[in-house]
Amino acid sequence: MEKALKNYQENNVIYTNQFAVIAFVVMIAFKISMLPSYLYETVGRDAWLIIGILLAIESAMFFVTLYVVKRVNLLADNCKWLHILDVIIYGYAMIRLIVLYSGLITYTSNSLFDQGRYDFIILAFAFVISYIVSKGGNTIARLFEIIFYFILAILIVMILTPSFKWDLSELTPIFGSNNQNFLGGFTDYSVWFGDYIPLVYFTVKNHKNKILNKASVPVALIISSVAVVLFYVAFIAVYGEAGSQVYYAFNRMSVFNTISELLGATNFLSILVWMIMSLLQIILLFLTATNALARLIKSKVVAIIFNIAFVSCVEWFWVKKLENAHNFAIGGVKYFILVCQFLIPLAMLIYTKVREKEKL
Amino acid sequence: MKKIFVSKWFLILIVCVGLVVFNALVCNVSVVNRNIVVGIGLDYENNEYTLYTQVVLPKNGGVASGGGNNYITLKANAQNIDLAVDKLEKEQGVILSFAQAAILILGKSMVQNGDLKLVDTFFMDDRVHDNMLIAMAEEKAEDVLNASVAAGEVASLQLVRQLRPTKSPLGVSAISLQEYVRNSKNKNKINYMPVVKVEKTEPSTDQAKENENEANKFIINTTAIADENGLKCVLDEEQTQSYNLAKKKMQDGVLKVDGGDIFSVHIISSNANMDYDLDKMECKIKIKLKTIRTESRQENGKVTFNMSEEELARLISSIDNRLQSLFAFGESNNTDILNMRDGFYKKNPKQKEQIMANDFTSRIKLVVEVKVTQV
Repeated sequence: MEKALKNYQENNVIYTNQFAVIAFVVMIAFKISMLPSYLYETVGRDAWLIIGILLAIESAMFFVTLYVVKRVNLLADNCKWLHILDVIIYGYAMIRLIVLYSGLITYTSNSLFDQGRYDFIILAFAFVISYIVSKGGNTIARLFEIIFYFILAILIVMILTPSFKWDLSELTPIFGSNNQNFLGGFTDYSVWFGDYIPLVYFTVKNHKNKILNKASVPVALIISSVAVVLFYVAFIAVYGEAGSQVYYAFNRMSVFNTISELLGATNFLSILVWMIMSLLQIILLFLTATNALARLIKSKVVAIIFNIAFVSCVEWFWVKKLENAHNFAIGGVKYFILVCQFLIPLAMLIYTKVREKEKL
Repeated sequence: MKKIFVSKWFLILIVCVGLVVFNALVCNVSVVNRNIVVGIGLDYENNEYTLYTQVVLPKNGGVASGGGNNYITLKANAQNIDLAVDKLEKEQGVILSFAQAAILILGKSMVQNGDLKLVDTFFMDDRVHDNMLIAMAEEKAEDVLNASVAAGEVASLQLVRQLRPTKSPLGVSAISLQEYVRNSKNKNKINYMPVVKVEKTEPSTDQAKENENEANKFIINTTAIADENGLKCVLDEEQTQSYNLAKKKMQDGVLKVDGGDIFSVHIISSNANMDYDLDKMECKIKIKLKTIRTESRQENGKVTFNMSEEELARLISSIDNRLQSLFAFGESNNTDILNMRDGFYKKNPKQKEQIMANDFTSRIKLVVEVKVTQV
């Protein structure tokens, strides 16, 4: 068992370009589904500005995380003080899982089936997710890399063939609505951010290609951030004040497509690409929770079984529908998540500096 | 025995069996038990709503069978749409599938007296696509859905083809569910929708072969203007063209210029922008037109499709007069047809009180600036 755990701990080495691919996917996945309508409900037409600022902060934190994981291997480090961090990361990952996983299950139930039964969908996902997580970080990173090209191809097709009637005046007046809850836009939806934290359990090695090493992460972060902001701009321009009622924004927007007008509904492309991206992100969060728990209880198998059983039971018996997950996310947990998003990278940065000094 | 259970082939077998039975476990409804709805109609009479769903029937053997239509129109009365859908599904013993619904036709009585907020029911339904078109029937939605357009053709789909041509033309003002709901949520904006008129026509060759004596065609050249309270007015053909010139980008259409020798121009492209000046109480519409004269004329002994200076001036003057007339028509019906109030408010949000005054639009001067490029 010790050998298996050791292998697992060293099975988290990824290249810089794989880090970039993971960053690209997780920066987009859940931010273009339910979040546009939630954010519009809170801050109105300035939602695109709020998301731009939040993504800029998120991108900066990705660089901090990259700096850290290039220098330390958290998973293989047995320092007892790090277990405090493991507990915090575990709580963080589980809260995000409960909220975001609910979104994926509901989406699957509504899109692939006609109000399909939640219990069997949860069961199907449980087998898939636990199997992939058991393979470790390296395999998951490779999975991201392989599927990335497929995702990119579909996204490019969708971006090149839009056919929506938008009204850009719906974005104005900028900051003109005297929104009392404007600051709430920065804090209420913290559960949808902090996608760099799962990456602290990886170790990044430089790729042979120097250009890929230097450029892949900045390019991935810039493109994904700009893409999300432009999506929000288009969303607000297309739906205007009806935006707060538009759930699954990416899927709803995808019907405005010249291919749809010629061939009939092609929103199966958007369903496919979003489900893949969101499932990959959920797998990453499960991996994070598993890594954190495995470091505490020294058993990978028990960690996987416990996590999958716990989250599945929570979804099955307690959350049940998206509204409950949303209310949970905007409750007191949002402050805990918000603190974690800055505390964890800061703690890791300090730890990295301490380790570097010790090596000297 | 233990080796069998851990072998990859056993796991693959389990996954295959699981995938096959999974569909049954999630209670997915087979396509055989679904009615594919391509068109929806809504009428309002005696405080009750009548929902029509035009459902496509599968053809036999892949070839159009001789005799009969390949669609049926189902009907249910209820106090709201959800109850009507439920009633239809129970009566037919099927699930109505709205994923392919391409058009929603509102009867005139529905737009005049019904609760237009019911359209939101379709918007909130995840099964209905936001690019579904909305139109108003000249009389009843039932008449439009039951029109005999061509042998074996579905009225809804024929209507969608007319409303969504390859290039946006001058006379048709199609609106999608998404655009309609966006406008309806903004109290400062009016909504528009094309009016569909059903007229008798000669049967086509296919219809004659089917021994059909009656045939119908759709005439769509007028536009209904509505707000949250219902129908405000109906724009005639010329007013519809003026409305499209002021509010939309177009890539097709013929514009007739009266007054003197009548001539017409073909619109290659048209683009309009509105500018709002609160200090001058002025709204400027800037229209950029790319045109070509439809008939040739002689100029200096040569054949040309360009307009003369005098014709160009008449065209610009004609467009100006049309838009002024449209604006005046809107004012006489107490309707801000050009959505000026919304434009002024977005540019000057601090002057809300002044802009929201009831007589605000009547004090606005409309200035029309037309720039014509001849191809």
